[in-house]
Amino acid sequence: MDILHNMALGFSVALQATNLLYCFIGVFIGTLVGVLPGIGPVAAMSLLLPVTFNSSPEAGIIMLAGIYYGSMYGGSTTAILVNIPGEAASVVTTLDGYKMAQQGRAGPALGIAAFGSFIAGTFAVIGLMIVAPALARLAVKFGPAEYFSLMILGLSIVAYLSHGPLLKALTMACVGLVLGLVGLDSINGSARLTFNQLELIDGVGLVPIVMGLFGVAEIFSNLERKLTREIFDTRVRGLLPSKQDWKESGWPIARGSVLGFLLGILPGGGAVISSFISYALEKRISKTPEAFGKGAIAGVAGPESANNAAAGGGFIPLMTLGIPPNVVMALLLGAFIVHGLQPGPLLMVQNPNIFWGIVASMYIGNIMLLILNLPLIGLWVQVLKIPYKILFPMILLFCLIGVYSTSSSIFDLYVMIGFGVLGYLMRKFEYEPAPLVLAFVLGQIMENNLRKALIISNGEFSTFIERPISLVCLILAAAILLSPLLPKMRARRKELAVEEAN
Amino acid sequence: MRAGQAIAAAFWLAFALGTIYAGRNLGLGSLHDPGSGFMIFWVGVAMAVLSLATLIASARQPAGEALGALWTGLRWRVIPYVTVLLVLYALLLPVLGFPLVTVLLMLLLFKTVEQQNLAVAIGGALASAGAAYLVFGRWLGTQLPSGTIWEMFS
Repeated sequence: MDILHNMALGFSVALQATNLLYCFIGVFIGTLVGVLPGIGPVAAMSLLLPVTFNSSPEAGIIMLAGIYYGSMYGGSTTAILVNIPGEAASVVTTLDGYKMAQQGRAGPALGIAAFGSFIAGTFAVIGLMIVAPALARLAVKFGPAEYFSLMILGLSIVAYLSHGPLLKALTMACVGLVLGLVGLDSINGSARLTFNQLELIDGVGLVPIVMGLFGVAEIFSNLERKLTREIFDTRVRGLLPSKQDWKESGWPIARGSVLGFLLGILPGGGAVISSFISYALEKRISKTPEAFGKGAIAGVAGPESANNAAAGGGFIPLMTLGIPPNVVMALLLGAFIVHGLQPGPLLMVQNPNIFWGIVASMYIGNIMLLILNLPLIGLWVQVLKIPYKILFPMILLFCLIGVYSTSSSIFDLYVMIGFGVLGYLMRKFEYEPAPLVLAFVLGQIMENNLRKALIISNGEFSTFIERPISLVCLILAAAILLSPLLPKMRARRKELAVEEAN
Repeated sequence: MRAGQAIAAAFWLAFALGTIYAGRNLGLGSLHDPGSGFMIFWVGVAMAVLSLATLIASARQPAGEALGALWTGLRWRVIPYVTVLLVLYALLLPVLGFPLVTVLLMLLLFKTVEQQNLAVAIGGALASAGAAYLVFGRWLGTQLPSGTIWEMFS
């Protein structure tokens, strides 16, 4: 009964005209950035973070969340029609989606991607409703030691799942932690690593770092090689999948939904990895594995469902523990904090309207996306035809002004440009930006919990291993970090990284 | 690529050493009451160990291609060029103001990076500057710089 009551509250918030409008803007922009190669949900969300300053907290977060799961829908369109994934989670969709398009079955491919995404997205929201309250009750028992160890585990998973060598990913996590500690010490108020710059007293801004590493660096990488796109030329017809298509896609959608949701909850897991694992799973259990890579509809349905379910599952650790499991959620954490809200176990008690409003808006957003994706395919195809040479100056300008508008500070523009160049060089030398950004966001929280845990335990490090939850997290983190030493695990990690990089 | 990997690792090692130094200066405190530099110091130590390990690993790699191979066949000159344009934009924005600097930046990006024809470049520059003004200046209410130089004439 509680869930029904809470959902009624959530819908009463989500169905307010302003929130509906923000939800629509979010999913529309999300689909757009998903369609457009060269700008991903992370860059788009940081660009639009200032929009949330003028809105109510729930409206702003509803919009940002919409961008995230909207981009998962949009990414499949480019993957199927152009053979270029609009964002990383749709990489695997190119394998069979584009082949289907070449065989004249672009319509069913787009259709099953949209329906699969809708079903999985809805499943994830239901899962969120059921799991989140239970996890929040457990999280109340977490002390500083547990939080610190959980964050160590999250960073370990992110580093493990990154493309490049583990040593480099861990180095980036350390860089992120140091950057996150710039500014005033939250315990004694002294300035740290500010180099006498007033602008650094409040720390380095999240938006300029993210825009630099993900927005500007992406543009630099695209500019140095000419981006050419061949758009699938025939008209897209027959978006509704046939009975046979449904028969072949039903179980992959179901499995993708469950798998994606579970992987989305894990710190460090997320849409990209779940889509790859779903594809591998479907291929392995298929009676016709040889059809994969040649236009198998299950190869589109499974991964597209998995990445949408993961997008929903990712909200659980953020909203119940206050710990972002990936970079996108780290940005959402930033949005919560901007509005004076602290996501965590008390969010649904202290601000039930916001928690349940966001959850309910995801139902509505999924319906909006289904409506947007099927009839508007023609519009997205037209958007795809805009040449990159027209797009990139506009994206750059919106990055510049977007960053300026968050703080009205020219200094932040230099920070963004600096991180843009750094991000470009990091790509060249195989250093991943994701562990850096996640560690940057966690830096302050981790330090606070570490220091509090030590103060409470009278300086005893054993507190981290005496508390069972903390111990389990640390053992898992150690196992993950040491696993590449085992030849079989090292090969598996390389396999995952190559699949993802391709 | 060995040289490139070694240079990158050496860069992060230097960063780590700087972090350790800064952490020590800030004060480590004690385990009972960790100071402001406690975590910075230990993260710096971890970073130093990791980058040193990367440096050693790169030294054990075969020499491979030269560092320049990373940019072979690519339009690498575009990157410093666009970077300089962006820095100039940040420098001139408070002086010349949003409208003029933005149109100039967009004109240069449209005309010189991908060699559009002049009409497209001018149209694109005006349209994108106008769109940015509408979204950020009007809709979001951002105070876009009007330019200190114009205040001298008013």
